[in-house]
Amino acid sequence: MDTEGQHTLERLADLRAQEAPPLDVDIHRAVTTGRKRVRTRRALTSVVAAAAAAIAVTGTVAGLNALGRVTPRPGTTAGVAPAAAAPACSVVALSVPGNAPDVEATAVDPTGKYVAGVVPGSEETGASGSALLWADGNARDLHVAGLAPTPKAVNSAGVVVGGTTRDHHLVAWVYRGGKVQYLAGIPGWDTEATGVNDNGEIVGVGYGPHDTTKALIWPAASSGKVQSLPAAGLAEALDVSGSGAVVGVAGYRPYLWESPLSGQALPALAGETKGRAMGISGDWAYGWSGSTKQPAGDAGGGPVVLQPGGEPSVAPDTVEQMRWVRWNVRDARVEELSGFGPAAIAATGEMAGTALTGKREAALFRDGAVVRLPHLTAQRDYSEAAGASADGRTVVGTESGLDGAKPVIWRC
Amino acid sequence: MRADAERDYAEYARACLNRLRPMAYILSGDPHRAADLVQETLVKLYVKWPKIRGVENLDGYVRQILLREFLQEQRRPWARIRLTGTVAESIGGSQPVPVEERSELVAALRQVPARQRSAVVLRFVYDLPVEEVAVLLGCGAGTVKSQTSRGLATLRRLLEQPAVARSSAGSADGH
Repeated sequence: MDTEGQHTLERLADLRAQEAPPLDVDIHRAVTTGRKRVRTRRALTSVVAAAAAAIAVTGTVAGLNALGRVTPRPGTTAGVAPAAAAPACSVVALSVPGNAPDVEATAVDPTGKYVAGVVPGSEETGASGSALLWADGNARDLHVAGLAPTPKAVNSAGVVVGGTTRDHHLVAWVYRGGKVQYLAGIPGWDTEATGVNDNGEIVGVGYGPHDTTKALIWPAASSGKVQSLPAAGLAEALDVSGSGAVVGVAGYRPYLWESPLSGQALPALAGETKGRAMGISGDWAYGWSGSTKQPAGDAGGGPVVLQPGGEPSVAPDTVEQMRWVRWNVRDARVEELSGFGPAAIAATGEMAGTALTGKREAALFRDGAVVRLPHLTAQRDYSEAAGASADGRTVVGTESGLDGAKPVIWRC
Repeated sequence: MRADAERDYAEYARACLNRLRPMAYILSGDPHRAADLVQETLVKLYVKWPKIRGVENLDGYVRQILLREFLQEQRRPWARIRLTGTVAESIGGSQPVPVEERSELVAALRQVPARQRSAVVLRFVYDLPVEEVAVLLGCGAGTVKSQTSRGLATLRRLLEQPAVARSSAGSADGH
C-alpha cells in the first residue's frame, strides 16, 4: 500500500480511540420500551397460539394432575429429546401457587429437598412478585415484602436468602424459621444476599454511591451484623461453600476468600486477567475469565477507576470477551468450558446451566461433555438450569414456552 | 423480565454504551442518528436479553444488532418519520455534521455507501478480521474485500478533495 493509503488507514484506526459526541441515549427508556415490546409480543404470540390450538389435532404433551403438577406423559418426550439428553434424567414441573403464568426456580439446597423460586415482579405492571420455597415439592409464599423479591440461594435447613426492593432500595433478606428478616447493611447502600451455607453464613453484595461495590458477609454468629470482605477495589461476594470459602470478584479479578480475613485472585485463562467467580461447591467453582483489549495508541490501558482507599483498577467496560471456566480451588487450576454456560456447580465438579450451541436449553456439564436435559413439552422456547444439589443429581430451572415460564426439577 | 435479569441487563448496557456510542457515530456520521441507533439497539437487546445473556461473545452479538439496525435504517428513509407525524430533524442526511478536526474523517465516511462504509469501519477502525466482518454483514469474505477496497478508494478520493467541495458533495448514503 502507498504512503497515502497507509495514512488513511492510520487515521481510521485513530478514530477508535476518539470519543463520540454526547448522545441522547437512555437505558431506562430502553427498558421501558423493551418491556412494552415484550408485552406486545406475548399478546401476539398468545393470539397465534390460541388460534393454533383451536385447529391443532396434536401437540399437547404434558398433562396436569390433581395437584397442579405437570407430568410428562410416558413416551412423549423421547421423540423430541435431543440425542445427547441424559437418559437417566427425568423432569417434572413444580406446583405453582395460584397458577401464576410465569414462575421460575432459582436455587436448590445441597440435599435436593428444598427449591427456591420466584414469581417475577414488575415496576411497570405494579405486580410486586413473590419469593417461593418448595419443600419436598410443596410450595409456599415466603411473604417477603417489597418489589420483586428474588431468592438467590437456599441451604439444607430451608434457609433462603435474596434481595428485594423496598423504598427504591435493594435490601438483603433471609427467610429462617418461618420468618423473614431484613439484613443489616451499610447505611445508605443497597444490599443483596447471594449465598448461604449450611452453617448459616450469608454472603452478598453492597452497592454504594458512584457504582462502588463491596463483598459482604453476615457471619452466622454475629446476630445479623455485616462485615466487608477484604479486597482492593470493587468487590462482590457471590457464593459461599459448606466450609465457608467465598467466591466472587475483587478488582475485576475472579476471587476466592478462604476466610473472612483473607482472599486471593483465582487464575484467569492464559493471557487474561479479568473475570468473575460466580459459584462454589466443595473444591469446585465456576465463573468467567476475560481479557482487555487496549485501544490503539493507548499504552496506559483503559479508563481508570479510583476507589477510595483502593488501588486504581481498569473499568469493567473494557472487558472485550469472556469465556466460561471452571476452577479447582484446591489446586488453583482453571479450565475453559466449551459450548456451555454454567449457572450452578456441584461438589463433584459437575455443572448445571445452559447449552450454548444449537438449541439453547438446560444442560449438565458432565465428564467434559454437554449433556442436554429433557424438557416438558416440545413447544418450549428454551429452558435453563439455575441450581444443582451437592451430588449433582437434582437440578432445578425453568422451561419457557408460549404459555409462560414453568419451574422444573430434573432428577438424574 | 425478572428484577435480577433486568439489573444484569442495565449493568451490561451501561458497560456497552461506551463502545456502542462511537461505533454508531462513526457509522452514521450524525449524533441524532447515532443516538437513535444505540437506543434501538438497547431496546432490541432488552427484548432478547433473557435468551442471550451469557452467550459467548455477547459484545459481538450486540455489535451485530447495531450494524443491522444501521443497514436497515439506510434502506428505509420513511422510518425516520415519527409517529407524531413530524419529520425527524436529521431526515435527508444532507446537513453537514458539526465541523471539527476529528469529524472531518467521519464526515467523509458518511459519503461512502453504507455497506462499503460498514466494511471499512469494521475492518480498519475496529480491526476485525475479514471473516468476522463477513458474518456481521451477512456476505462472503470476497465481498467484504471488494466492499472494503471500494470503500477505501472512495474515502481517499473524498479526503483528497478540498474541504469546500466535500461539504457540498452531499450524502452518498444508500446503494
